[in-house]
Amino acid sequence: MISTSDHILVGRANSGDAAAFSTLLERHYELIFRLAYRMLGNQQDAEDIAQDICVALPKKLVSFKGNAKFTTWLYQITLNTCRDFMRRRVSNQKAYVDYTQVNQIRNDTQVQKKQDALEAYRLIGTLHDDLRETALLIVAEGLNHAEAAQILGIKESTVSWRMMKVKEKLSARVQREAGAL
Amino acid sequence: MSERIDKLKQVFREAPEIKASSEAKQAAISAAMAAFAEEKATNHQGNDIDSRLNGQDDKNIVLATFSRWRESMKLKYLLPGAAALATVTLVAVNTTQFESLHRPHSPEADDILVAIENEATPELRGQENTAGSLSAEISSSNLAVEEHTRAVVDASRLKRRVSEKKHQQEIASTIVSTGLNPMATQVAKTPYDFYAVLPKGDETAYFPIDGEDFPVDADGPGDRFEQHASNPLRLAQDTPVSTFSIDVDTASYGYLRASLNRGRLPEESAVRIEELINYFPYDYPVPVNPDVPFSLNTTVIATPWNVNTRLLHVGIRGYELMQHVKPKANLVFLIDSSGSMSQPDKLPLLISSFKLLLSTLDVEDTVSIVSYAGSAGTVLEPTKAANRATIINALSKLQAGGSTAGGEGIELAYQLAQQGFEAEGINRVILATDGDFNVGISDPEQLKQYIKRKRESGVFLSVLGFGMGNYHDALMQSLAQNGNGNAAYIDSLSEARKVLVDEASSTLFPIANDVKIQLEFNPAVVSEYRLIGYETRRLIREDFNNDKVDAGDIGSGHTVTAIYEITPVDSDARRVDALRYQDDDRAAGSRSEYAYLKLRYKLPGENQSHLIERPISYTDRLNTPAQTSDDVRFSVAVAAYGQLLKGNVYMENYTYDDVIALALDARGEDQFGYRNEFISLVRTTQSLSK
Repeated sequence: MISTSDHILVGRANSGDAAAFSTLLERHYELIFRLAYRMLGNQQDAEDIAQDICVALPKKLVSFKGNAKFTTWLYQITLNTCRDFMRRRVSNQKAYVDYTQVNQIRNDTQVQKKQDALEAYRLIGTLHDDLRETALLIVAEGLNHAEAAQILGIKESTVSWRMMKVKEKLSARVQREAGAL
Repeated sequence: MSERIDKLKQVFREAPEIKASSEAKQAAISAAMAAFAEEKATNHQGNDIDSRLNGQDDKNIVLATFSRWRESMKLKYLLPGAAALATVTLVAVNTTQFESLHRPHSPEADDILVAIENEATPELRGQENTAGSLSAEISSSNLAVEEHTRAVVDASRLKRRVSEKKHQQEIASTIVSTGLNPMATQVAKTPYDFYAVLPKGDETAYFPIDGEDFPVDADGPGDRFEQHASNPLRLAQDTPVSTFSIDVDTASYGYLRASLNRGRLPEESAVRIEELINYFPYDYPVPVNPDVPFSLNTTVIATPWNVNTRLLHVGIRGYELMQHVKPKANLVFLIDSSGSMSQPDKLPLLISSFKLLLSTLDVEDTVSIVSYAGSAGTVLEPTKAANRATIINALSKLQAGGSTAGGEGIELAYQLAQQGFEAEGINRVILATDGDFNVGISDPEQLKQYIKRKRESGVFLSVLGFGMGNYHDALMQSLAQNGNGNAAYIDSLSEARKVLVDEASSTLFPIANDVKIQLEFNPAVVSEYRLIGYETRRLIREDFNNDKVDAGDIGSGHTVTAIYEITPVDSDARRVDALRYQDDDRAAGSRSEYAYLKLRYKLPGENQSHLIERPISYTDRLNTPAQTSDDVRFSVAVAAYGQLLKGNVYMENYTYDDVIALALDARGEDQFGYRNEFISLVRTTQSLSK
């Protein structure tokens, strides 16, 4: 099956094609949810945010200029919305961060993998905002520095520099925690 | 890229896939499609949408949010009419979810949904028509608006929150009570105002400028709770001195309890172990000499979670002022329950505040509750504070609602005050309101006179203000003055604590300020030590003697507990090292002392600190649990619990079961039921952790 490119779908959606818009949603909902989950730390907030982003998309879509990948643009929107949400959340109520997903576990190996991921989230969670976001994009989302740079609106060299910082911070932390043993 | 980063990447690659629930995805896509249709409708179809916003609108919503539009793209023509309304639903949810009217959720809603789906789907599948005729089709189904509304709620994003039944009920019932108002479509376009479309270019507004400097300390997320790693193990040889400020806060325990009662484990950063420990009253000996306003009680016991270490337990108790003349309290809460009090910073805060106050009362003190303006009348007859559960139960039942004048609120309150009158004690009505003084006497001047008269009969009045918008500062002040009481404005639980617990409570006066503790460990006896909790209260060694450095305050009769886990050295092996114990004066005690304890405090109003000091020696050691007091063992159980919650690495194989066993055995009298409550919280934690 040949899939229509995101760019074309966006164009169609902007001119009122509901089918195109729904294909875009189907295709990318999981990306939005996944990043929101990684940023916010729990399923429910992530689902809420993902829905809010989806609902806002029809309007925002018009501002997509097509000079970057659609997913890059989506990452940006999601990231910004999550930042806003976190800002609100901090002032209202403490975040509920657990990174649990009950439905995915099927066997012991997965339990272990999940434990490892939880530990990785915890480690990354100790980083300050900028580094944390960068680390999530590079490490968890597996993007390259150029893509992350585009999403974050910074230079690629800055991403690399941040990743260096991430490495230092995490190493220091791991050592500190090991030392505390 | 470094190894560590690569390893982390691998962890994420191999981690179970992150997926939203299919209901959530469905709901999101449906809502988005509705928004899309609305957007295009507003752009291209002008007034058409308005004409569809009447009559059988509600049915449209149900269909738009629940119908399987994706199975038949023909439906895209039908969406505009329904779309706006679907969005309305979301707004109603978002703006009203703080209301908490309790109305049972009926399983009907689900049935209705199924019914509608069965009924409507075939219709839709065959339908290549306009929204108008769709409306007509739907209007043939005979469902009450209210039922629709509930169905809508379930059909949209809430459908998936099956586990959060209560939440669901609240929202469903709120929507029922609110009703769906087509006027809301204006708002509906942006379900959350902050998701409103940003002007072009603003998408990157939050991005930092390239090359921008990083904060010096980039550790820790920007959340409300600061992250503090547990205190590390220290070598007594290298770092013999441990200094910290005392802390009588207990907020962390309250947060923990609230969180667990909502069915959620608290985040580790919200757990401050010392606040858990210090939440509980401990019956350490009262200081005998008022010149030295603290008793220092030190015990060394076996560590429950590690056979190779010991716990060094320091229990401090402040002098109790006028303990022998401590008056009994007879308190009447006169609580405004008008509709405006329902906001989270009003009645809910008020209830929490009074629970705080309750915890400072003596078992023999009396509490009554009267509400006015909303649900008026006696909520609780005079009840001894020992019946904590009864009082809390009554408080929890208070609900804001209605706006009508509520009879004789204040007179009823004074009547109850008379009923429980303590000739030798404190008799006080505590009026709590957001500004509605419709207490039964409407003329302010008359009201003042009344309060004044009552004051002469020995019943005083304090006024507590809550919330914004309706607040009558001057009147409150004047009423309180006439009632020989104080007026205070409560905006947060910490303020409530300050006013109700630390200040207004006549049972609690500060007896010392800036209380600091310093322990010097004897490397000849202790090889390693670790302070449990107090991470946020750490002071540097020099601060101990610096009177300019602020520290915690302590009130009359307050107790403070600190626990160290220490690793003793083999005494045979320590002989050589003993020579290194630098303090020659105490060399004689060098092998019989664990540590040297110093406490600094200032008396209220003084600038110069006083020092209390004493060694902690082998005579403090207790060998069997039976020798150890309930208080010490219970505090150790709480410490163990806190560490388990924080995932502390020193806990070996200790489990929540062990904590429960230890705590059960150490409950003692537990006059206020705090310790039993703790045990049930541990059980909750245990079940949530599984």
